[in-house]
Amino acid sequence: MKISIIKDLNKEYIEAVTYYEADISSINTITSVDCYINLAFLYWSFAFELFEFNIPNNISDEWSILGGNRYPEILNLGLSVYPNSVELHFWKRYFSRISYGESFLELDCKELIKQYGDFSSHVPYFFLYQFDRGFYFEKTNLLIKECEELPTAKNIYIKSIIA
Amino acid sequence: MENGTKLLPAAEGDFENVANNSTNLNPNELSVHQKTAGGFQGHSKLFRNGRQVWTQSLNGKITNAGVNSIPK
Repeated sequence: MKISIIKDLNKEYIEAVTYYEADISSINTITSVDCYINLAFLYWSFAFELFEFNIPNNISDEWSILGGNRYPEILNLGLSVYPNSVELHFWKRYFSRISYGESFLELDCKELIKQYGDFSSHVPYFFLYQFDRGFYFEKTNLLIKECEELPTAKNIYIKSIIA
Repeated sequence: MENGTKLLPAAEGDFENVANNSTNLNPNELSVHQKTAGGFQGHSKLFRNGRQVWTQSLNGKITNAGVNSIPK
């Protein structure tokens, strides 16, 4: 397992960011899409999740400012490498919705899944679940198990929304 | 104030009441990024039962909200 993921699992989030940044900068290895996603998620949390993330994890103000600048850059960088990643597309739209009030509804999310498929990630279903708990129950249950097996900051957040 | 961005619990009408009252304005409810980015507003109100309801909003829409059991 990558050191970045281990740091993320250990809730050593500043160190995790440093290692994720090194992962995506490496020219010798192919960077997993999860590195871009987890890194963007941490930066977004630094920027917007004051009570839920920064205060309990002692994230300093400078990281909040850096996070706000960096999370969209990381998402776009990830999309340049993985243009068909449904999860990268999902987070881009989801963050815009909950941070800036931009429109992103059930139908938009279903369109993303239709366009890019859900074989690589069940993550968009935590959002869809909030619109129809019965219809998306099965996919969401799979997602909860995945989040429990690998409790990164992103997965802790997802589980807190649906579990 | 409109709850237009985050799917908040239906019973939490407190959020809108707090955010709609300018006397509850409190920039300390915002992250540093939100303070420097501009356009965001923070509101909070301490209720008699010890709950502190807080909201973050952008252009009149609540983007995030919560309840702290221990007032800051």
